[in-house]
Amino acid sequence: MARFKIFNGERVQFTAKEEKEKDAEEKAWHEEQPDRRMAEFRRQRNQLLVETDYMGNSDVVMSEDWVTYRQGLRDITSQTPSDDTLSNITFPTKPTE
Amino acid sequence: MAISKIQAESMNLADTYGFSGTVTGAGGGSLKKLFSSISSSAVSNVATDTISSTYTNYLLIGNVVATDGQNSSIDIYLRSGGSNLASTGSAGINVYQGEYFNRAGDAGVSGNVSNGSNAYLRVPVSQNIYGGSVMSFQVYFNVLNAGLVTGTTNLSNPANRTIRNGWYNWSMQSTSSSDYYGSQGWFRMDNPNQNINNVTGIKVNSGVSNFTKHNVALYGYVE
Repeated sequence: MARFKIFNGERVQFTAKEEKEKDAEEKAWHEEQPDRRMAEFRRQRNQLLVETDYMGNSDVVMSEDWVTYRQGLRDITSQTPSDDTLSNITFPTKPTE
Repeated sequence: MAISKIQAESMNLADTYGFSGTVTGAGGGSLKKLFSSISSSAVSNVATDTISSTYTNYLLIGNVVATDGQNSSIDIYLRSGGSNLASTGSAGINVYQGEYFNRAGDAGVSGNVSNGSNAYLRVPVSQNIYGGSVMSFQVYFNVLNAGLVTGTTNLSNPANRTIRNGWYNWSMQSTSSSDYYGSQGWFRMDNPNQNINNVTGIKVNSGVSNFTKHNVALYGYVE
């Protein structure tokens, strides 16, 4: 399907050269997609770890459930996201106590 | 209530007056709109060649909707001589940028960067824009037309380079959850060989697919 652009206020159809350039851009976008998903995956994992970092303080006793939970978060990046919403990733369940 | 400030003659405030002189005195800088585009037709990019030495600093403001079902980004390219500056390397544009962002559902702040590997400013650089959602952004450019030439005091390899820098922010819906994110960022567009001396335009490009709707405007700062 033909692509269009706005140039100085007018809607103009892409030239053949522009179509080729856009094809290359889209190819690059899709090739970089796994890296972007992994970065978001790590960001969410790191956020969950930060929330419980205080448990590592010397005056806090961490229960076995929390130790397992945090280890699960550290190990989780062995999984690979299959889409942008990380729908195939199962984060460990946070202990209630 | 009587108008006491006009005393010598009366002035009918309901009438129309044409001023041919110049207003001087109080007041500072303002923004001059150089370009705007509003459309609900799908376009892959929005470009304008309205940048010149008339204005030193520029403000780009926009709202776009990414193609439904296709997560995307906004990539902002500089233009010169009627062409996009799309190459990196010593004779090109190398964009360094960073941003801090957070999500309405989290108190925590995260960040991300791009270290000179792109010829464009990617907004956002941290994650995707959710397809079909509204993305709002603004970008402030410093000395966009000519650029700023760095000194040699603390730079030796290479000594001089031309920089166009600025700041940006955005708010949007991202893909990882159905809630909202916002960010503030900075950038430096580095031209090591100092061969790009005249930026004359800008292109707001959809990283993939189209903007199904957009509202984009470029302003120059009047000094």
